[in-house]
Amino acid sequence: MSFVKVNLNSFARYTVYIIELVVFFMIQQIPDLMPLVFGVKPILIFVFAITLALLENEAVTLIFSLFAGVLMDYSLGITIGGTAVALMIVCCVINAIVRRKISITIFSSVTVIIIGCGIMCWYLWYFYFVFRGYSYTYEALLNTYIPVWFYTSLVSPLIYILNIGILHGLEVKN
Amino acid sequence: MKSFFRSNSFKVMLIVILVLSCIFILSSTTGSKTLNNFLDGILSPMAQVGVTVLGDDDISAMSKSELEEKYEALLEENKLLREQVVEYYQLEQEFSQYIDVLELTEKYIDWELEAATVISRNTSDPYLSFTIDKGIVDGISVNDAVITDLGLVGIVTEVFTYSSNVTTILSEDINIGAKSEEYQEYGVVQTYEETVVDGTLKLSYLTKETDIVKNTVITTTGSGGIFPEGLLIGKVTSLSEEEKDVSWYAVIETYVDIAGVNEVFIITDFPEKEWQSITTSEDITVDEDLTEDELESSEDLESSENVTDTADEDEGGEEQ
Repeated sequence: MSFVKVNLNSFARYTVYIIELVVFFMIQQIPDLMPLVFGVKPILIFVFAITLALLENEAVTLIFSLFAGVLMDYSLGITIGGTAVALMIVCCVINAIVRRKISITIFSSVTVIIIGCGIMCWYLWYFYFVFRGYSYTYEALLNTYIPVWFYTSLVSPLIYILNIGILHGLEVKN
Repeated sequence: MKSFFRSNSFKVMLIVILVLSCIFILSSTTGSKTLNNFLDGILSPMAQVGVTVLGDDDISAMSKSELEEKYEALLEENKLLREQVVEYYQLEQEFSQYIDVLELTEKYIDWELEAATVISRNTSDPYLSFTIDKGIVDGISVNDAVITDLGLVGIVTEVFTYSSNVTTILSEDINIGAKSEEYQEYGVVQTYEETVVDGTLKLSYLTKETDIVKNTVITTTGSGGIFPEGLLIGKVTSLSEEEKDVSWYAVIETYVDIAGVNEVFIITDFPEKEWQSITTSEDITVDEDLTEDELESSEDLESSENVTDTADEDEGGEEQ
């Protein structure tokens, strides 16, 4: 019976993650659903993926960062794959470092999430703005990408706490 | 750390990255949109449901104070609308006078419009691109103009089965042949350094002697066959001299609040429509060493309907 419970808990947790990912994606994409700060909205699915990298094992990190990246590519209206690969690499590196080098506290976790989101925002700016040959790169960085990073960082503790709650609520106890 | 590189997860990650990179490169080179269309089929209906749910005000769920507030707001709106009706009749009278002067015909009746709702906004695009809930099945195609009742918004740049991506006029990818109907002066509406900051555009290639003043209305010329002639773009807020040459430019405030637009129309067809690709910034080159005399001589632009095409010809001439 305990085997069934273990699998049920895992299944429930991954289902909740999938729902969470879709909900976050909808919240960040649907107009007027979230207040704008400096005229921008946060990228919630980046925080979601990086949070899972902090809390879950490599396989879960891999799969959900891949899904989150694919959704991000779709929302940007670009060829699927670019952001997915970048987010996967960032998440897997974070997962590897955190599981082996850093002790997880709220402070260290939020710091890692903020750094991870910063890397992804820089990636978006560099590869989808600068690389496309647009002219006003620094104006775009200052007025769009840095505010996006700031707003994303602001909401990251909430998503982290939510995922901690889900993990504890549906944890597999050995 | 070494154990991570030896782990199965790392090997799986490498394989997934490799496969994904192959898909990415293949899609980029062939322009295939299979994956995008697949996701579009799943996510567009969900986004549409979200927008529909958000759009409805549930009166039965409101408290008394909320209803009172709503009532007050509606009274205020009603008052405003009555004032606007009076203004409308005045403007209608004025318009009927202008219509003879400008020889405006009933050409707008020939436009084929498709109403659409914004279902998704690109959170990290400085040029505010967005997605609408109409796609191939609704007869939308690439380069269709997107407008609201207030004026021009952008063009459709990507079409999927049930949705389309719209690039706004704030984007560097779009340059628009524009004119002042009032002063019959022509130029090109394009992005400049302040566009990302405050959403304004500039009307370039004006001469020093330009008659354009503050509040002059700027409309499309209809050149290029993408936008119909006479679409409202915005009004002039100021005039400045270009730093790199002797021409002048006007700063334009768009009539449409592009960041907040929720309902749009797509012009799927109009009589003058030609299937040409959008004019890119590479298409327009102006000699940076252009003298004032040369600029004055470019008054030919005014007699030409197609500013962007003229620039093309000049470019071609130089090459010859």
